Amino acid sequence: MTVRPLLWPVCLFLFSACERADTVRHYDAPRPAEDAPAVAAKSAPAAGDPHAGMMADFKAPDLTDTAPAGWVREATPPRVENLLRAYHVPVENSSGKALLLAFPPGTGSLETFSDYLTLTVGLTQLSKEEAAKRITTATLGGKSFELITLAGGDAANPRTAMGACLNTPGAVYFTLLSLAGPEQPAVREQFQHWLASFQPGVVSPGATTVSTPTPAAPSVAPSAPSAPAVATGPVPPPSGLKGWKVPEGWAAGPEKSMRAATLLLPGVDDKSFSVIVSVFPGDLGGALPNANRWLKELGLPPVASEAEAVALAKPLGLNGLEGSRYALDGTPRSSRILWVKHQGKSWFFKMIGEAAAVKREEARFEELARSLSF
Amino acid sequence: MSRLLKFFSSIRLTVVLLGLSVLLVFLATLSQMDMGVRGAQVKFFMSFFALWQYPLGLPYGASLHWIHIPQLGGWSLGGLLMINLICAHFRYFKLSARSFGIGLIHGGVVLLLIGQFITDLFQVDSSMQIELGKSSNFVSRFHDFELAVSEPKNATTESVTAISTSRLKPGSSLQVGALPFTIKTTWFEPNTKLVTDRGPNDPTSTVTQGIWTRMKVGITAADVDNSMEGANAPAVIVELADAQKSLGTWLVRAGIDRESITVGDRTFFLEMRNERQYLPYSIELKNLKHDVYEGTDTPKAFESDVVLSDPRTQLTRRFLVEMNEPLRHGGLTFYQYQMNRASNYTVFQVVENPGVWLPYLACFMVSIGLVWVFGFSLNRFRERQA
Repeated sequence: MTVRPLLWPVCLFLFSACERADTVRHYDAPRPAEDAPAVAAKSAPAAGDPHAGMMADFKAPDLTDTAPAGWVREATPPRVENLLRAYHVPVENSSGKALLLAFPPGTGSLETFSDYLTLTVGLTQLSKEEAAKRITTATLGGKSFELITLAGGDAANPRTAMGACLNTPGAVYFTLLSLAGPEQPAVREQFQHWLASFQPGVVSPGATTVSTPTPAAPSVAPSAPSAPAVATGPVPPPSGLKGWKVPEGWAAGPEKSMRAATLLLPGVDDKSFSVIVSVFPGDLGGALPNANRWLKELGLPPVASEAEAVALAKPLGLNGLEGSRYALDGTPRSSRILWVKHQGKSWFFKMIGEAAAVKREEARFEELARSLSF
Repeated sequence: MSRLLKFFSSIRLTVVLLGLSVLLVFLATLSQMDMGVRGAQVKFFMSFFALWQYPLGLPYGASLHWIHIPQLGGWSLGGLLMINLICAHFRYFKLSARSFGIGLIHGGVVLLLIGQFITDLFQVDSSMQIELGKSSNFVSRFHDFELAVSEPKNATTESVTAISTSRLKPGSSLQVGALPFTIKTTWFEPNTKLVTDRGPNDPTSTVTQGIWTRMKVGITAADVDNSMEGANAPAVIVELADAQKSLGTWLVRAGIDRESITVGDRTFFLEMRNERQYLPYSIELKNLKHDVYEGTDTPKAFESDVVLSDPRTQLTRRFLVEMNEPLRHGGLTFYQYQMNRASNYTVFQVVENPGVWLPYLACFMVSIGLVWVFGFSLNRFRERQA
């Protein structure tokens, strides 16, 4: 009896040392409807990506569209986050697939998504200059799209990808049409007809703070059907901020996950133009990754070192608050960023939009900055 | 009485073990700074021994990182506490009506320890993602990956050979009966990141087939993310060879489209993905609801309206899965986990734990034992009063 209790740990050790799970398994499973698209790469973001958690809770306003005749809506590949639609595109002697994805406002432009397109057609990555040369803009159905067409593969297996990006205040819509074959004018025409049919929905009323309406409500592309519902009247400061004074003509935008607040500014045409307020613990890896993210949003080349990133910044100069500010000018967009470090958190106030509009609102952005009270 | 039994039934041993348990919890909590909750859990609690190292995240971490403290792991401490309790019981307690309550209490505590051990060994956490209007019949492990080699059998079915990443050791070679080629692993990393420029020693330089031969991006090892929500992207470079020759070298990374391979007149697909478990039943998502508290992003209600179809029992039944109201079926529990209205899909956290009822049984035994013991004391008190 005295030895018997000692058998326990021995048995437990032997048991745990055994291979408990089969390391090679064989089974039959349903075939996927089609090979998952290459954009699935985005569903495994690198650890530490500040955008990694944004997608799961992102509530994009839905978009109505009319698929060209013959297109068949497909089962959504489950690994692709933020996929709204997937269509099988019938093509003679080949096959095609069209995807429509929605991302949070400010995610980027078509250049941001160009890696997906190059991956799809098996091309090497495009440099920013190459991407900028290939991207064109077009107005389809009254909306301004960025467009790109890439051809890749090899002589035996040519591949084509067409991409488009539509920036609206409620979401960035990215579309991809991939063809296992050379470019076909008929398919290009179908793709553009499809884009022209896009009708971005409005942000749901439940997601919009509506306070006392005033006649002086700002106009954010009032004639565009894609304009979101905009809250008007005094804008309360986000949680954690004691007070601020939102300049006249600015209004509260729709609430978004991972954002403390969004302010909508009168913009140019129907381009989104906003001040985005976000709060994160720590410093999100320091100046380098943050500066490069902001530079990338504007299509500007990245900086190589922390020292260069810090050199881009200017002192915050706001009533003893710790932090820095950035003024970044790209073509056609610019941004002004306040990075306030307060009680172990980073507060970002980012105004981003058309360069002319940003310049026009710069004084009022400064007015907002000077009114911040923590 | 033998010295061994005296030692193992000693109250001093109990105190020492409880003290070590407190120390283990403290040190493991500190280590979470470096290795995340899941990493600390595996290293310190689901092990027999662990070597604690001063975390880099603590003050003076870089200069004190050399400090190591060997520790008994959770399984050792739990096992020794259990032995201590059993031995003490045999040494000090005699079977009688009065000591029956003490026996029940001790039995309950032992059952609690066994239950935790079974949970550590057998609990499996997975996820199931279902698109609105569609159904799913498999779950994917959160943190475990597999190299899946699939061969279409007909228009709707494919034959899958799934190889756990534990078998993908660099230099190892694997001959699986169903496959007409051997799989030789030349490089494997449990987490990777892409780099824009390939250096001369980039692992992709050895790749001769597939999409990585046409891309400019390179790949490099990244720190494994052991946080509960951590998303790792393992990658492997494998050389496939039939009886005569090498078929080429492929790089397969999680999250990237699967590669197509032609061997003779057969086509195979190669993919790194979260380990899958197919279920003998399916769940269809009929509707979903995602409400937040007014003016905030704080979730108020996640609800998934699903239909479960189990052909084994001819069961077809509608369930509403919401926060704290999971669906239990076939030994699995489906908790509402995530939801994405943009893409109209829901994600369940799926938990399989064969020891799930043991803590309830243990608590019931301890409760009865306490009532029994205090009942005896109360009775004795009343007798003295009389």
